Amino acid sequence: MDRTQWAIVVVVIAMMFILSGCSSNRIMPVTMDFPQAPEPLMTEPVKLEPLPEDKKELSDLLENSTVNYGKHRELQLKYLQWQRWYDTNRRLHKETTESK
Amino acid sequence: MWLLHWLPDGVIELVIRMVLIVGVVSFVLGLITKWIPFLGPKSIILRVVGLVLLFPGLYMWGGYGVEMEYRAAAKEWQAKIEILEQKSKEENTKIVEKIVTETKVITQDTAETQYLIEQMREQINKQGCELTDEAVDLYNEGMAGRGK
Repeated sequence: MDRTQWAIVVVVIAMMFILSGCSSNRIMPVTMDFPQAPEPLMTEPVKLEPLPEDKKELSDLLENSTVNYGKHRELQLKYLQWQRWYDTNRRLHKETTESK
Repeated sequence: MWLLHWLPDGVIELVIRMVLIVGVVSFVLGLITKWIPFLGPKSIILRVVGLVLLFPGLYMWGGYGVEMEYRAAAKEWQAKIEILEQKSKEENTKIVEKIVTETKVITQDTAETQYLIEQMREQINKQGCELTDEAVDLYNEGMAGRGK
């Protein structure tokens, strides 16, 4: 190789070295914690009450049903709030990750 | 250019600028002194020093630009995530409030109905309709499920 060819090789290597300074393949050091669900939604679900063996009158059955309907409504409320929590957090996550 | 991550922006920029300036000045001086008698043979040292500083200087300048873009993007992401976390917390508060309020209403409704049943107990039971043991078992099985 003559002097000119050496110079070209040096310049090419130097340019490659300089341009490699602009490369970047790092991972963004930002972490997103999984959202915490509200405490009332994390409690053990209430169980329906069975009718005691010694309660055989129609009023006992009505009373037991009323108590259990109340528990059902409570569970329904929590179920709907779980859905609300999920929808909201999903929307927020989408808005954050998709916005420029 | 991970090394740049640990240094403050101002220090990085100052160092790179200094390296570039010294490199350019050395190289240009090396070119000028080439034509000056007596200094000519020594001008190669200045040119070599200039190039030795210029190449890493340019390399670092490129890396610095990328690093700054990277830091700005990270800052922007951090801000977005903080807003998300704040909104999520606000929503949690609303959910808790709704559960507390509506649970009170449900408890009150149940208590009121129980009170009415208690008041009407005789009237309800006056037909003499009584549940058999089998009926009670069936009722409880329907509630708890058969897969015990």
